[in-house]
Amino acid sequence: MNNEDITLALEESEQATMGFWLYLISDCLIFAGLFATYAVLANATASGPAATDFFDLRSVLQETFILLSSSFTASLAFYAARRGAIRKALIALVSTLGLGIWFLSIELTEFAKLIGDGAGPSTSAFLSSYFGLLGAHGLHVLLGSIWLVVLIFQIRSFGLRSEISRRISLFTLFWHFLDIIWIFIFTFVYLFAFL
Amino acid sequence: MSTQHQANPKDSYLWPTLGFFVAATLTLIAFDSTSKILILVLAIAQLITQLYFFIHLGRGDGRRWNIAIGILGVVLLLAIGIGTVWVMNHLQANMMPKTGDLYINSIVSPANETRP
Repeated sequence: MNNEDITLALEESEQATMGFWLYLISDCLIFAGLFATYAVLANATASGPAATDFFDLRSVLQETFILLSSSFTASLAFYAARRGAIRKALIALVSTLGLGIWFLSIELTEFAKLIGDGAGPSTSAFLSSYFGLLGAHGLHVLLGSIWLVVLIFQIRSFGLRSEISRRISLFTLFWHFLDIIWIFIFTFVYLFAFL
Repeated sequence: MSTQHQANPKDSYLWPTLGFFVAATLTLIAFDSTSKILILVLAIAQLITQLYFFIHLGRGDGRRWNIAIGILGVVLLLAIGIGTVWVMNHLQANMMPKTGDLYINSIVSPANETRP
């Protein structure tokens, strides 16, 4: 590799990281809109159930700790990858995946129950905004999980090459961002409903 | 070809571990409290905790533009969130008719009011 190649590689990596941050901020804007919509419509319950009728704080606490733990394991994976500890990185990433899937299963079960009880997204404006916000977050978790599966296979095939390392750091950034969004979901949607 | 295998002491597993416990504590306190303001403060504290310990915003190389972009993001979010709630509140307040309007156009008049 001559000097030109190394310079180009560095620039690409920096560009990719900057680009990803830009994407994350634009994603934040989408969530800001969804949060604002929920804030405005939280009391528009029509003839359907209100928040306090079906919110289950114990379940939310469980989901919160699952997501927090998955953010933690993602961090461990990042640091392991930085050190070249490929086996530890893989274990941490698989743990992250497991926790993410657990979170999704809890959330999907709740959604299915709500819809089954007639409290679906078309029942009231409150429920539309609730499903919109939580659904968008859940969709991000789902897509992140799919990315994670692909990433795990890539690590196993190619080891910790520079692009793979970069993808690990971008993935963990994305995953932390999802946990941060969840902080505001459990705060503004769930905790505030009871106060 | 190969990645850097620097054993950087500030890359220790201590950071995310500490961050996890701080965030967990903040979460438990929030679920246990009854004051909206306290919960809000805890949420922001947890946001900063996660940004610092997990994403290391504010540590390491390139932290200046790191923090700058982070602050920009937060400002935009606040603008959209607070702006929307503020605007919708004003809209709702302005939708309510002022008392006089109803009588001036004879929409309501004593003659039309039913009496028990």
